[in-house]
This record gives sequence, C-alpha cells and structure tokens, in this order.
Amino acid sequence: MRHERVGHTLQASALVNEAYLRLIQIKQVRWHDRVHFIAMASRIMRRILVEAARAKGFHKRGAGAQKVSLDEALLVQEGPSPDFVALDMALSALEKVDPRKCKVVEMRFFGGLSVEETAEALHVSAGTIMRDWRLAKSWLARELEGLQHHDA
Amino acid sequence: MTPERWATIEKLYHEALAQDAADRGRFLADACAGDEALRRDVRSLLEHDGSAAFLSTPAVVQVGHVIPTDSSLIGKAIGPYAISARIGAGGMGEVYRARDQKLGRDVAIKILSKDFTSDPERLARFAREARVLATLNHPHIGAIYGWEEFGGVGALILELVEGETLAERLEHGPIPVKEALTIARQIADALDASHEKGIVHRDLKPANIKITSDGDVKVLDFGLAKAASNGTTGPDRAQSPTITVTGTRDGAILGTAAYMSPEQARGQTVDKRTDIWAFGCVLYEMLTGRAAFAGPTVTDTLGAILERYPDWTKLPSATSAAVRRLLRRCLEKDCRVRLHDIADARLELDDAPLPGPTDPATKSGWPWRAWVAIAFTLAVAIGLGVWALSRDRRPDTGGPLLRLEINPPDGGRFGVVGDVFVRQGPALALSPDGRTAVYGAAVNGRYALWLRSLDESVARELRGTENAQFPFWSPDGRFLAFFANGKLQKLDVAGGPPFVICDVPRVFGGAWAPDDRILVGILAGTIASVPASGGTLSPLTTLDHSRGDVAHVWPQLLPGGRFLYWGASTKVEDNGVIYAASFERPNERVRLIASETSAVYASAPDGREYLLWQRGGTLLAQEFDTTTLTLAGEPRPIADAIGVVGSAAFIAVAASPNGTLLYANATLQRLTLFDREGKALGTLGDAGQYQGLRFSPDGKQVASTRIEAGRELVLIDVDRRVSRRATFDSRGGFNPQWSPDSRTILFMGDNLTALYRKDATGTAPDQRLASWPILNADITDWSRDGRSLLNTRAADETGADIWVVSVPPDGHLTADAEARPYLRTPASETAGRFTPVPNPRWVAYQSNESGRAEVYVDSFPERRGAHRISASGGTDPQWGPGGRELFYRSADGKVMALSLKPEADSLDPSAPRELFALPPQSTFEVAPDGQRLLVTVRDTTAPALNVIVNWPSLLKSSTTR
Repeated sequence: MRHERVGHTLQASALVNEAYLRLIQIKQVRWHDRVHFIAMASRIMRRILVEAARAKGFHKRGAGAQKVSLDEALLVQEGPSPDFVALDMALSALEKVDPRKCKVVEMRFFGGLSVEETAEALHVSAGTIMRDWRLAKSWLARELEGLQHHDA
Repeated sequence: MTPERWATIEKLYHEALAQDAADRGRFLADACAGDEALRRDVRSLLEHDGSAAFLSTPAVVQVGHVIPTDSSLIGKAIGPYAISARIGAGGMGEVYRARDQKLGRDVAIKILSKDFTSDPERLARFAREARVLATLNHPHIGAIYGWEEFGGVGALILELVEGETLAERLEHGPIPVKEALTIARQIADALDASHEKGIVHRDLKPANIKITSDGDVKVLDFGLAKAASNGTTGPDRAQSPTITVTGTRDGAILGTAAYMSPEQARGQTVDKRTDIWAFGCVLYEMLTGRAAFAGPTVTDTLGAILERYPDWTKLPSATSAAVRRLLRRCLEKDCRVRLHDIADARLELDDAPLPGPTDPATKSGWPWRAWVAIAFTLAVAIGLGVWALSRDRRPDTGGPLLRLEINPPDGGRFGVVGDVFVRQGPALALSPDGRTAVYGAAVNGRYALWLRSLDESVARELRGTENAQFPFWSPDGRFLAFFANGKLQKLDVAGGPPFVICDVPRVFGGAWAPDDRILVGILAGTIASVPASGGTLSPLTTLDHSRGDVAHVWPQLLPGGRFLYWGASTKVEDNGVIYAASFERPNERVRLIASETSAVYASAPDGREYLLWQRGGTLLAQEFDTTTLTLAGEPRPIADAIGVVGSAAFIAVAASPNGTLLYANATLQRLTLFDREGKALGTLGDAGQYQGLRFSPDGKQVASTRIEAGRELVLIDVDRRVSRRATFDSRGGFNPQWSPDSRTILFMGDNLTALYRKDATGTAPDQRLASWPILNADITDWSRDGRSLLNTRAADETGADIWVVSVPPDGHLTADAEARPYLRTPASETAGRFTPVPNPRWVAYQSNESGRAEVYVDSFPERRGAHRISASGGTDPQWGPGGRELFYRSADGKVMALSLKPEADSLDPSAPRELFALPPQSTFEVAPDGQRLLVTVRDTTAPALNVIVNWPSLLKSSTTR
C-alpha cells in the first residue's frame, strides 16, 4: 500500500518545481555560483520536502509516527533519515538557539553541500563547519528523541 | 537560553569530545563546577554524538536518485514558460509544449540534455548559432524564437507547430502527385529563404517537416545540426548531422542517414547543395512512398547513397517529365553538377504533370561501401573509440575522405602534447601500410605504447615499451623501434621482448631506412645512424658552424636514398629549417623551407608527394618532388589545432604512403581565474594554447597570444569572459604590453621581428612601429608612466640580460630607440617587471646567478643592490597593487606571496607565504587588484588522436569547392 503511494508522491508533489529542477541541474554551474545558489535554495528545499511529507501524511502524530520517513517512501536504502516534519520542528527550535547551526544543517542535509562548500557560503572555516555540524547533529538527535517521547 | 549559556555548552561539548571517552565524565564534573543543569545538558548532547548515519545522506541526493528527469518538468515553469506536456525527444534533448506567460502564446521548448550543457564552450557556441538562426523568419519555416538559459539549463524556444510530420504522413503510403508537389513547393520556398541568408539546413528529412491541418508546411530545425555539433575538433565534423545529433541510437541514425548527401556521408564540407539532395530524397519519397536510398542497415543505406541511383520506375506515371528531371538533378551524386539553386526547382514544380520516360538501370558494386559504412557507423559511435578500415583498399584510387577519432584505452589518456621531455610525452606512429597505429597512453599511471590494428576494434599494450618515446616502424612493418630508458630498442610487433639496438643520448626522433639503417636525431647534436641489427651510433651529418647550426633532429626518410631533417641555428634566417640530403652526401643539404617545427614526408596513393609541416597549429601540405628536392605550389591546410611542441620543434603527425594520416590534437588550456586561496572562480575566453598573459592596468581586459590559432593576439573581456581576436594580418601577435591608460598595446608581430602598436579600444589598423631584432623580442613590461620598457635581450657573452628601452613621449618607438642595459651579468636575467605605480622605483626579475632561478628585486632607474626575494627557487615575479606585494612561482610550482614596503629602501620583505599550488605546466598572471590570479589550466578532456583516411582528397575538394 505504501509503495503504491510512492509514484504519486514523486509525480504529483510540490517537490519537483523550478527550484528543485535547478538544484538538480545546478551541478553544471560554476562552483562559486553553485554554492551560493544552493545555500539560498536549501531553505526552500527544506520547505518543499517537509511540505511534501506533511501533505502525504507521513508524519502522523501518535504511535509509530517515526516509522515512516520520506526517504523510506522513496525506496532509498542509503542510511536512515528522520521524519522530515519532526526534523523541521527540531531545526526551528535549533534556529532559536543557534541560527548558524540551523543553516549548516539546511545547507548540508537539504542542500547537499560539502563541508568546504558550506564554509564558503557561510564565510567561516571548514573546521568551524565541522564542529557546528557535529554539535547540531547531537542537538537534533536529542531533540528528535524528545519530540518522539512527547508524541508518545 | 542565553547566548552566553549556549556558548558555554558548545565550548564544553567540544572540549569534552577532545578527551578520552573514559575521562569525559570527570572532565565535565570538574568543568561544570556544581552547575548540575549545565552538566546534564552537555552530557545529554554527548550521548547523542556519533550517530554516523544520521543526516548523512543529503536529502537532495536521496530524492534526486528517484525522480525521473524526463517527466520532471511537466506542470512546472522555467522562467516565463509553463510546461504542459512532452512532445518528443531528440539527440539534443527533450521537447516540451509550454505556455509563454509573458507573451501569452504557446511555444515548443527544447531543453538541452545534460551532456550538452555540461560543456560550456559547446553551449556558448550553440547559443550563438541559435541567435543567428532566430533571424530566419518565413511562413514555411518553424521559427526559433530564442535561446534562454535558466540556472544552467539551456533551452531553445521554438514556434509550436501543430500537426503531423511528413514522416508520420508517409507511414500511410505515397502522397498523390498534386499534393506532393504542393508540399514540395513550400519546402523549396523555405529552403530558398534560408539559403538566401546563407543558412543550410543540413538535416532535412520527413521527420523535420510538419504539415498543419490547413495543409501548410513548416520546415523545422533549420541549421540546428550544425549548431549542435561540437565545432571545436575540426572544420568538417560539423557537416554531418547524424554523428553529433542523434547519438548512437540506431533507428535515429538510420532515419537520418537515408537523407544524407554523398558529401555528407564522406564527411566533406557541405553547402546548400546538400539541402537540395535531401529535398530530392523527400520529393521522391512523397511520390513513391519509399525512401530514395534505403537499406536494412546504415551500411547499406550509405552504400546506396554513394553508389546507387533511386529506382525511377517506382515514380507514379502521373509524374511529369519536368519533375523527373528535377529529381535527377537534385539527386546527382557529384554536387558540382547537381541543381545549384533551389529556386530553380520552383519552375520545374510548376509544370503540369505529364508521363515521362524511365531511367537507365542502376549501377552495381560498391567498392567503398563496406568500409565507408563501417567507418561511418563507428564514427557515429565515437564515444567508443572504435574505428576500422577496409582490408582491400586499392592504393591507386582516391576513395572517400574519412575522419576518425581514436580514444585512449579504457581509463587511460594519451601522452601529453606539452613537453617532449616529460616521460609521458607524445608518441605516435603509423605503419607503412597505414593499417596499424601505435601511440603512447597512460593507464593507471603506467605509460606505454599501444597498438591498434585497423582491422580490430581494440588496442593492446605493447609489452616492454614502458615510457617509450618517438616510435617509428621498420619499412616492412614487422618491427617497431622506439626510445626508452636511454636506449634505442626494437620490438617484433608479432611478439617477443624488445631488442636493444644501442645506447642513445637524449634524442629527437628516429627513422628506419630500407637498407636497415636507423637514423636518430640527437638533441644538440646531429643526425646519426646505427644498423638496426645493433651497433653504435655514428654521425651522419655534421653541424655547419659557419651557419650557426646547433642541432639536426627529427629525421624522416625520403625515397631514393635521401632523408630530411629539421635544423636549428643561431642565425635568424636559419633559425629553423627543413633540410634534405642524401645518405651518400649527407652534408650537401638542400634547404627546403623555413619552419619552426619538424616536417613529415607523405606520398599519396596517386603517386604525388607532399611535405607536411605546420604554421600556427595548422597542418599544411605542399607538393614536394623528392627527385629534384623542390617544393611546388602553395601550402594548403589539411588540419587545424594539431599537437605541436614548439620548444622541441615537434609536430605530432604521422603519415603512411596510402594517404592515411595520424595526428594528435593540440592540448588546449583554459584561462581560469582563481582567488588567493586557489578556488577557481571561472574561466575566460575559449580553450586555446595561450602564451603570455597580461592584464590591462584597469583590470578589464587580458591580452594574450593564441599559439594554436595562428599565433594571433587575443583580447579577453574579464567581466564578460569572452575573447576576441585582435590581430589579423600582422603575422602573429606576441608579448603584448599595455599602455598605462589601458588603451594601447605594444606587441611583436611579423613572426617576432617587428614592433607593432595597437589601438585596444577601437578598430584602427595596427601600426608597425619598427623592425625589431628577434633576439630582442622578449619585451616583458611597460612602465606605468609609459616611459620605459623592460626588454630581455640575449647575448653570447652574458646570456639573457635585462635592458631598458626608452619610449618617446609620442609612443613612436623606432629601431634605434634609446636602450640601455639594466642588468648585464654572466648569469641569465629575465622576466623583469616594474612596480605598477606611476614612478616605478623597483624592478622584480628572475636570475640564475645562484645556480638556480630565484626572484630578486632591485631599484630603478639605477641599480643599488639586489634583494633576493625567493628562498628556494622562484620564477615569474609579479607585483601586487602599489608594489606592496610580490608574487612568484616557487620551484615546486606554488604561487607564493609576500608583502614589501616599496617606499623603504630596505623593502622590508615579509616571509613568502604559499597561496596555492599551480596546475602542472601552467603559467599565471596576477590581476591588478592582487586578489585574483589568471592561470592557464590544461583542458582535462583527453586530447584525441585523429585519423584522416585519404587526406589528399582534401586538397582536391578545396579546389573545387
């Protein structure tokens, strides 16, 4: 049943809009421009993915909510990834505490930028990005766990 | 949470992570000093650290894998275009139906495929062509509205033509004569209009012709075949639509091949007569319901095009004599006798239908058919790097011209055509029968010779040829000789280990004579010979010191016991000369031609003989009588941008007596801007072989010399990133220097023997200022007060010295302009640069006085003592803004920078700091702002090896074109 939905998700959802197309094609663009474009677009990307997940009801409050994640729905096998809606909430919380770390996660996870590219976009060193990234991941993991407990 | 609190948490988190896991608890307890909430907070974060998979795969990657791109656009907008449906797909990309929301009209939009858009040069070229094609405006031509790029996506905006294609229509059988002629008239009108504008369709076929419900005809895709082709690799590859447009999909190839003209099938230059041929094919097919030339395979189809006539008996009896005549005139295989002008077709088409006679029987037998077609098919599949030739080539006939490309072995690349001294330098040889090519290629870092028989589809590595250079064949084609590890060796091509013939010093080329003597060109020596069976080298030629000879290298064999070689001399007039001599009297040489690089002897199947040599990267062929040792006629171009190593006078060309030519492409460079951290910011201009880069003082333009493009001066607009050719008839444009106001350029022209002045802002003709000795041609800088030039001059006693040439106030330099030596020592001083300020007080330069090249700075106008700047090797000094910074290249290829105080006599230089490593064999130039560096980066796309079969036919076609 879930797999039947996949096709719909892919073809009909708001995922595939101009911004998304550009993200896919942007690899052709000069590196410098690409970094700045993706840095800007990563927020849009986050919203698109979260909206898509929300529209499909992948986030259901209540028992078992965390079981259905978007990438699972997309049949991607590479590593687990969180419930996008919950992640979105956790990121919003992180933004209040430390806006830059939120940006780092947006750019790296939603925008697909490397550590160096993120560093370029945020005008800080790669080392700083690595530290931000590590702490942000710990913080988000803790927050997601909390959300889950809260839901349950 | 306060920011301070968060900062504390962050600090403790990272500090704790730096501890051993076992010590973290204690560390935290100590650090938190009783603040239990803080300790809990940090500890809980630490507990959530280290989930490697968490967020590890970017969301965009996860989603990107599963979204099919071909449907991704429907329902989306690209710029002002709302895409509603997919109409079709072609080699260039997908075609969609879209609504132009700005203009409120429906359009077709062709989104170029990725392999198309990933090559910026090709894309730029396509955009240019598309803009030209957009000027075509005719009721029977599907309009090109424009070309747009949206964030790296290239899209062609086309008129949306509703209706079926002629190909679809023809699926239902022939079209009644009257209707067919109505359609044909409209096609002819369309062609007439485009030919008037000089635009050739090149890919006219039923699939490109649409018929609306009103019966109106629209011809689509005018000129796109040429626009889409990859125009960088040769003049004629753009002629064939199929090779580049439809890729390797067999059906598509077949569909296009059926309408190709014979000249297209042969890869020759095409003009409007190719469209006339295709028009004839289309008309024939409309009348008969079958293709004029067709076969089950591309092979058969091409064979038919080249050798057969259409079956005229299939024409319906209602076909008038005039139409039959028109068809025959359109389908003449020889384009010279074909209908010349499509407007003439109108007259014939307007004639009333009348029954006409049938045509003579078809010819049979296609001597070229098999291999033309195979080669063509494989040329289509160029990506596979496969090629082939027929076994039964008859040497006494010309046959069609073919161009093929050899790709490197899987995962490998060819030798670099940049420096013959690098171990992985260029290597190529063609067997005497023209059937086997040998070339150097590196696979997994291992460089060796590879052999490809023309009868086979794969190459094999020749064992025992690691790091081999300059291979050449024995006259009987059994052995291959080459140089490796200081030895001349030979290898039985059929198998077995290499045999060492003799030890050799550094060599430049070899040749194997019919009497089993091997000639070797010795660097800084002469031509020497050794028996192929082994022995020692004995000199054959001797240096003519009275003529300033310094080297005889690159030997080539001629018939009748003669040979030729390239000689270098210190005398300007003999600086580089191709000489011929006999084995009997090797020192009674005949001067054939002055040439900067070596020459190759080639005989043609018809018995004519040629000397192949190059000028400005263009390979030239000149008729050459080896009995009288005289050249005749004009040299004529046969290939562009061939691989040349100027410093070694080497051309990467090999020829066999049956008219086959093997040559390497020039290795091109991309002018790439970097920031100070070594991040590439983008490229400027086109790929080329650039020599000498100079920013204008205002930083807006770069002047340089395109060695492979006629050695002409080019000017590159830094902001717009485009280049334009700046000299046309000054015989090269070298060593450009900008005036302080960025409006004038001094450069060397006339093959480095005259000084020219150019107006960089307008179109005023270049002004020849003075003859200038070639040994003084190296002008390295023009001061910002406009008064002085720095000029490296070579002298016998003192090597390279730096002179200061005074520029008169009117800028009109003459040969007797006042010049004084600024630095004249036994060491070699070069690359002088003034501080870039109105009154320069310093000159930076490089000198080898310490035993290796180092960078120095001395005061100006008078020297007061050199400050050594580089610590362990340095070249190419360049100043930053105001002379407060100095850049140079370290011995290990890094850009170094240091700060100075130009106002202090001590200069007070800081320690050099590394900026970034330069790519191998690159040159760099610092922009006037000191923030960007322009670097010549070798194009990473592997240079191709090219084969031209029956190259002498190029000379014929160029006379009849």
